[in-house]
Amino acid sequence: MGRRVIKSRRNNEIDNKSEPAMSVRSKVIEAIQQIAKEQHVTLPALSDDLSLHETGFDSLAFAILVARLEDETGIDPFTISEDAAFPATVGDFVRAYENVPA
Amino acid sequence: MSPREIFALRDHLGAELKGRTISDAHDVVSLTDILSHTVLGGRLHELSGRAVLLKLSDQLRSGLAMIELDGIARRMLLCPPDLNPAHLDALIADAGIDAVVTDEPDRWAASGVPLVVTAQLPLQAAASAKTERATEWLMLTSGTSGVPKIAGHTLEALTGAIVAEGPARGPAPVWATFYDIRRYGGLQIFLRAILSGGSLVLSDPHEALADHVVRLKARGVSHISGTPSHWRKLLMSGSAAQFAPAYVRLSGEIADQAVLDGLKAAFPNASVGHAYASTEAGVGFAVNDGLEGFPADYLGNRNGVEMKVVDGSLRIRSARTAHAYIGRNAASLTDDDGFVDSGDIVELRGDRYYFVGRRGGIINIGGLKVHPEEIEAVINRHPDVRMSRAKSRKSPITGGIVVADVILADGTDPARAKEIRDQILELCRTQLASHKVPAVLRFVEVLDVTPAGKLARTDA
Repeated sequence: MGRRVIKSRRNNEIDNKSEPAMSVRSKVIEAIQQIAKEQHVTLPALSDDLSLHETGFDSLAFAILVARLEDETGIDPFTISEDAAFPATVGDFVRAYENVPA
Repeated sequence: MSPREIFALRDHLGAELKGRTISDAHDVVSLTDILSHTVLGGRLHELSGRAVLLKLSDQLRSGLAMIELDGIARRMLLCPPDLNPAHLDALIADAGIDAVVTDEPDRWAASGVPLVVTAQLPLQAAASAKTERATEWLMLTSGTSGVPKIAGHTLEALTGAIVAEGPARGPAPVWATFYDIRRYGGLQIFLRAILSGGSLVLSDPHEALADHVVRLKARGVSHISGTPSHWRKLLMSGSAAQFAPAYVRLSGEIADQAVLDGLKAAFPNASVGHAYASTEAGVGFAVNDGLEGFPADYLGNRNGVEMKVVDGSLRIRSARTAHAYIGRNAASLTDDDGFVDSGDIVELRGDRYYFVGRRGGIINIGGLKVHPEEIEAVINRHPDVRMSRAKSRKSPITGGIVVADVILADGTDPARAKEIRDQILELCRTQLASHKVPAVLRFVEVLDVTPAGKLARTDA
């Protein structure tokens, strides 16, 4: 329903530094890295097709991530969405935020 | 006639001590010759044997009316200032009220209450009255959202801890409290002032804190009490420096180590202690070793107060508890053995019990029970934190997460906010189970405090 086309990414590896300063993607990645630091989780290299399970985040860490991103972006895509399937990969997770109409 | 001699407030107010006063932000009333004066326009005799609603817009006239009514009225119901007017009819019915003492007689003209007496200042000269009976004191419980419960006390129960402590040594104290005296914590200070031969300085909800402190200092206040939230507000205001009380007491909420240490630092020459008391359970005990919690050997029978812990909550039996809830459908106040269940959850660590929160205040975090107070106690240990509130927030992932609002100590450099946030979270991670660590920490300017002086917990 009115889904915008998702820009596919050329480089599979996500480099936070190359993103525009306040893009949604960079906010999400920054929050993941911050929480990993706080929770003493060693992240593997983040890529769009990395499964969320492989990030080492438990459900509490994801709950923290979703809450912080809601504060920062005003969006909680997993509560407002009718078909709220939780994303399977890092790419799905980021797109859940990118695809919410502003 | 009662087989025992009955003491009412008037019997504690001889004229032997000169210079005693009760004052608020507007008026100073002498207590020395109070027995030959009336705040009730000389109509006290009409209230003899009545069930009186004390519904006044200020504490000063309320306190003066209590002095007159005790020993004359059959019962008196004290209305705190934040009482929801919508609950008045139910309370009047439950307490069998047949008279009201008010400063707004017009509002009561068509109320159906048969006798309306106006309380007024200045006092008028009147013949002293003689104690006729033991008046029942009715107090309203705080913290419930529906109609408050009415707890019935006697003056003997209300003053049990004061009599046990004996008179204050040294010069007559000048008492003050941040509480309203129509609440249990404030009433204790009012009664101490009457029984211990001192003066009393009342708070005023419309007065700025800095002005209040100026007044406390000008009146020479030596003994003062309030909730930890009251005290944190004072410490945050920067006004504490102008004030040097000798005796500082906390009650009504959990006194954590941070607020005790903060008060000890702000008032290095004061005795700083916390007391455990509630409208229902009365005064349980005082803790004067400067530490949070209380020694485990307080359990059992100590000075006539028996305490035990059942299912984690503190239970108290003593002659100082309320004797009953009053009303048509009133629940039982005590269990079959006469113990009041305080609903305050304690935890034994080493040889000390620590308060962890209210039974009714538990928040649910992913199916796990969490007391917000235990999280706040950890956050408050950070030296740059003055006050905090933990609460639950819905989460699509775990159902609920802990979030915390934090007020930083006065003068903290805002540039350090991120560093402080990381330190607080690290502190929480080392002291708390992972689901109790706040997921989100917000720095805020103010946290709501209820009219009863307690941190507002709207989500609990």
